[in-house]
Formats: sequence, structure tokens, C-alpha cells
Amino acid sequence: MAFIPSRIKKHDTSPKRVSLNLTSMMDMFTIILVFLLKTYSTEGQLIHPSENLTLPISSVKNPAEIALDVVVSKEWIMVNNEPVVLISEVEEQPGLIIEPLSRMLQRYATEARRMEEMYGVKFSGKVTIQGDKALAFRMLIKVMATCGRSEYPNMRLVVYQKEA
Amino acid sequence: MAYQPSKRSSRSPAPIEINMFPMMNLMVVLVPLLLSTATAIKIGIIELNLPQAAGGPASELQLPKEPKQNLDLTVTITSEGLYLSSVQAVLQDPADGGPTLAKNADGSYDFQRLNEMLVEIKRKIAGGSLDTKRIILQAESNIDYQTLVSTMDAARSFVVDDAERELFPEVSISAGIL
Repeated sequence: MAFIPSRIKKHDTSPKRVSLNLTSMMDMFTIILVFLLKTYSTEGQLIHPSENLTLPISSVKNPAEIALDVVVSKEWIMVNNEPVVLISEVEEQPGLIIEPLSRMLQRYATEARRMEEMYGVKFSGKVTIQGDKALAFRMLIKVMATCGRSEYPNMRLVVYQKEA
Repeated sequence: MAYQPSKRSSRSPAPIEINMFPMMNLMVVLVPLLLSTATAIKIGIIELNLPQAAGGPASELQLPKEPKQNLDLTVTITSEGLYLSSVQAVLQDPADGGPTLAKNADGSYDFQRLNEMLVEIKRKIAGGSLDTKRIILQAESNIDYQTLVSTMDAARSFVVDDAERELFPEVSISAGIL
């Protein structure tokens, strides 16, 4: 005789409770969490590299610090993300000093000195230079010479740190 | 005869599951937060050493007991290769009188060999009266920034037994363009 299933079971349409097995996901999350906590740095990123350039790679270990930001990208020279002069214009000029950049830096220096007098914030003359890795040496020298002449002699070059 | 419960009615204990949802909630919040603050690429800075001004307050002018002689060790980067020179002489390739370290066949500069040569020079001048910390870099106008930074790296330190040692830490850039 053929098997006849129970009528009650055949028409049992009540939804069954399905439980999700979260163990594997928990394992994964625990590993990620431990890794991220291990690599967590409270210092944060003090310098944000500009989008229009690729910084050179160096084995230097000195951490970044906050200072006036001069960016020499492929098209523009910028001070604190404010475009100052076109690279093509600087290429054409014969002298070492870039006049628009010098004026802008001196404006910042005047402002910093006023802050020094009013609030006692010491003016250190520090400037960080972010340059594209393909930047020509003559352009770098022009920017550095301008910074030196415009009350910012403490120059620092921003680089990507090489992986150990 | 004592009552014996039916064997069919006995049930195995239901498995107890830990409620993991609060922990999952915590993880779901923590992981994106830490991921967003993680720094994938570290940024560093190279401090430049400018020549000291001749003037200045008298208190800062402290003469060393034994004045150091300037070696003026200089690395010159040209499109042909790297030249090493000092106040006394220029090191040149004895075969053709070309650069101290000519470019590799693939057009790259031999920074590894430059580092080895500078270590050799440092060993020879150590203990003497010559300045063993300063090195000057100069370059042709078209030399790119990455080459300059790599030359600085080769001049600044060297690695012995996985430990980084000081070579010529005071790297200066010459303002003159070749």
C-alpha cells in the first residue's frame, strides 16, 4: 500500500521560526575589531595631502606636524588650499622669487605676528611644502627661496612614509 | 509496581542560545567608526637644515673646543648619474671620468651603492676633526622631486642588522641650480 501522508501535516502552513547563525559573522567582526584597535592611532592625520598631486615616498620616520601649508601641485601653487599662482606662469619667470607667493606668505606672517602680540601664540616661521613627486628641482628651489625670503625659513617637506 | 513514565514523553533539553544581538550591534557601530579613522598611509616630514646666520645673540655663540673642519661633502644629481665630491676633490669614475655612480641600465639611479659609498666615507672620517654630520645636495634643474628625496634617504641613514643608524643626518639643499 502506498504511503499516505497525514492530512494535518500536509496542510500545515504555519510559518516556522528560522534562526540566523551569527557565530561566523561574530568571529569575523572580532578579528577585524582587534586588528583595528591595534592599529588605532590617537594622533590622527594632521596633514591632508592634496588631491592634485602624488607625494614622494621616503624612509623618514618624523611624524607630521601642523604648520602653514604650501602645496605645489601639477597646475597651481596654493597656500592653505587657496590658489595663488599658476605653475606655467612661474616656469616663464626668470628670477628665483615668486612674487604672488611671497605676497601671500607675508600676509600670513603679518597675521601670525599680530596673533603673537595679541594672544602670545609664538610665530615659529614653520612651513610645510607638499610637492608632486614629478616636480622639477628648479620649481622646488623657487618655492623654497620664496618661503625663506618671506619670513618662513623653517621648511619641512611632506612625504609618504615607506612601509617597513 | 511503581509507575514508570512513558519513554516517548521524555524530551532532550532544548539548546540554549546566547543572545548575540547586543554584541552584534556594538560591533556594527565600532567597526565602521574605527575603519573611518584608520590611517592607511602614514605621512612624514623631512626637516631641512638651513645654514646658520652669521649674527645672533652672544649667548648662543658657543665655540666648540676643537673646531670642526668643513668637509662639504656634496652629492650632485645629474641626468648622467650621481657625483660625490668634497671640498678637496671630486670622485669620478676612473675608467671614463664620468659620474661617480652612473645610472643603471634601466635609467634608475643606484641609491644602494651611494649609501654604501657614504658609509665607507663616514667610517674613514670618523674620529677625526672633519664634520661628520653634514651633507649638501645639489641637482640639475630637471631632476624630479622623488629622486631628490631618495638621495636624501640614502644620505641620511643606513641599516645594519635591521637597525637604522645615523649617516649624514644634516642634509642641506644647495640653492644653486646646475
